[in-house]
Amino acid sequence: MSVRFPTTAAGRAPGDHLCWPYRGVDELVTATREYVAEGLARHELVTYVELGPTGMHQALLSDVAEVGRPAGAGRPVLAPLTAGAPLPTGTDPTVQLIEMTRSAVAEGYSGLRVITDATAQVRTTEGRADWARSEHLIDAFSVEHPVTALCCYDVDELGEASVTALACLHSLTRADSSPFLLRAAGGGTLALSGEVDVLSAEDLQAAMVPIGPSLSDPVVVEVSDLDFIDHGGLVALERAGRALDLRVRLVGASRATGWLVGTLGLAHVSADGSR
Amino acid sequence: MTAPTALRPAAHHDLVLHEGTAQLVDLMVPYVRDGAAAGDHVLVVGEADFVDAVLAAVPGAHGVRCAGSERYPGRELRLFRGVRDDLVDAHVRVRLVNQMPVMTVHQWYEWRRYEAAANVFLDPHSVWGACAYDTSAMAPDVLADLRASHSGVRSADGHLPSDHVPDLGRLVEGYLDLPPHPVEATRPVLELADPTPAAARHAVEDLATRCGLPEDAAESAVLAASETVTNGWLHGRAPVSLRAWAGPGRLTVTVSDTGRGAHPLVGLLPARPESLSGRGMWMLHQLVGDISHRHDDAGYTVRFSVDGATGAA
Repeated sequence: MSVRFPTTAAGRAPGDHLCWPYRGVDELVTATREYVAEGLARHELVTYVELGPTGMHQALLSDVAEVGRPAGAGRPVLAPLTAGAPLPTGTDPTVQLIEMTRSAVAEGYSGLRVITDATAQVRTTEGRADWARSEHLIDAFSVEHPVTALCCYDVDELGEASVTALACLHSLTRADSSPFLLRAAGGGTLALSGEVDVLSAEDLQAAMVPIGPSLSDPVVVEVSDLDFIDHGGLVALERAGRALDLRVRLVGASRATGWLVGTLGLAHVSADGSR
Repeated sequence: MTAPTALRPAAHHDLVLHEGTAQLVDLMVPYVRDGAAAGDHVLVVGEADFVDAVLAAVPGAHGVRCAGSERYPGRELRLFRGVRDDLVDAHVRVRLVNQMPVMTVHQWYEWRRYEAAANVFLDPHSVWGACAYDTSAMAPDVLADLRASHSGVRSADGHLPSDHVPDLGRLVEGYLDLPPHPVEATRPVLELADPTPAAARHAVEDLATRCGLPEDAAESAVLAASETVTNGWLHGRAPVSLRAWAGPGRLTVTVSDTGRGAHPLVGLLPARPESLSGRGMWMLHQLVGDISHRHDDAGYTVRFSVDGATGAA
C-alpha cells in the first residue's frame, strides 16, 4: 500500500494532512496517542480543535498528554479559538490556522500539529459539501506551512460513503478509506493519486465539485503518482470540468492515460506529456 | 450492454474475392479510378505492395499501409468513422478499399463482427466499402458469413449481388456461440474467484511484470482486466472468475461470468461521448488487438492476449 494510505497515524511530518476514519473511541484514542506523542517529541505545538460537542477533548487531552510524553515536552492544548460548536457554514478554517501557526512559530515551536474530530461538522449533506471545501483549503494551506493535521471522522455515525467523500480530499488517508486522493499540490494545483475506476469515478466527480470555486482555469492536476485511472475516471473529470466550467490539464500522465484522454475525445480534459 | 442503432441499407458494402495481390490490384484499380473520377475521397488500406500499386495507378487516391499483425477490427472501424465524419459536412462521399489481413479462425470470429458492425455506419450516400479477402487463405465456412454481411460480390466473374442479410439482429445471431480458445484447455497460472476490479488489476500487473511484458503492454493488460471484471460485475451475473496464462512476453486472460452475455457487436460500436456504459469495452477494442467474446451454456467469457506489440498507439 502506498505511503499515502498509511495504517498508523504516526510517521507524520509538516505538510501532512491525514484523514483518520475510526470506529469506536478506542481506535480514535490509539491514533491520537501516537500522533500526539510524535508531535511533542518534535517540539511541535499540539492542538486539539474541537468542532462539535463530542466531549472528547477532556478524554483525549488527559489521556494522550500523559502517554509517551517525552520529559520536558509540552502538553497538548485545547485550541483557544473554538467553542465546541460546529463552525458556521462558509467559514474559512485557514483563517484560524494562519493565526495558530504564526503563534506557534513565534513561541519557538517547530510547527503546529492539529487534531480534530470533524464528525459534527458533516452530519448533513450541506455540511459535508461545505466542509469538503474546508478540507481542501486546509490541505492547500498545509502544503506550504509547517502544519500537520489529523482529521478524525466517526464512521459508525456518518457511514462509509460520507467518510470516503471527505477522505479523498486529504494528502493522506487511512488505508482502505478511499482508493484515491485528490489533494492540493501547491500553487493552486491538484494532485491525484491512488486508483480511480468506474466504481469510484462518481466519488472523484463529487470531490471536484465542492472545491471548484477554489480552482482557477485551467486547473493543473499532477498525476505522476496515480497508479490507475480508466475511462470512467476520465469521464468523471470531464463531467466535473464541464460542471465547473474549467479545463482540466493532467500533467505527468502515463502513456496509457494520455492515449485514453486522446481516444475518448474529451472537451474539458487534456494530458500533457507522458511518463 | 447498449444495442446498436437499427441497420440502415448498406447498398455498397462489397465483398471482393481474389487470389493474390496481382489479381486484387486488377480488380480494384477500376473501382478506385471510378471513385476518383466521381469526386469521392478514396482510401486504400492494406499491405504496402497492394496500396502502392493502386496509388500508382490512381494518383488521387489516399493510402494507409499496414502489416496484418497491426490490424485491429476496433481501430479500423474508428479510422473509417473518422474519415467519414471529417468529410460528411463537405458532402464528399468516401470510398473505402480494405485488403483484409490473413487471419486464423479465432481472429475471423472478431473480423466477422467487424463486417457486421461496418453495416451500421456504411451509408449509400456517404460511405461505400469494398472488403478484399484472399480465397486461397480463407477458412471453410467463412465465405457464407461474408456473403451474408456484404451486399455485393466483386471477383474475376464480375460484380454480382450477394446473399446479404439486411436484418442486423438476424445477421449477428449466434456470432458469440463460439468454442473456447485452445489456451483455455490448458492449466492457467492464475485463477481468481469473484475478484474486485482492483484485485484483478494488481494480480494481472504482477503477472505481466513476471512474464516480462513491456510497460505499455502491461498497462494495457491491467486496463483490460479491470474493464472486463467490472463489466462482469455490472452487466453479468456472479460468480465472476479471472484466469490467466503466461508465456515469454505474452499474457492471456479470460474473465467469465454466468450471465447471458453481451450484444454480439459489443465493443465495436462507440457509445455516446459521455456514456459510461459500453464505452470501456469500446476503448479496449482500440487498445487490444487480440480480444474475443464468446457465450455458452456456462455463461459469457471475454478473452484477451497482450504481447510486446500491444499498447497505446
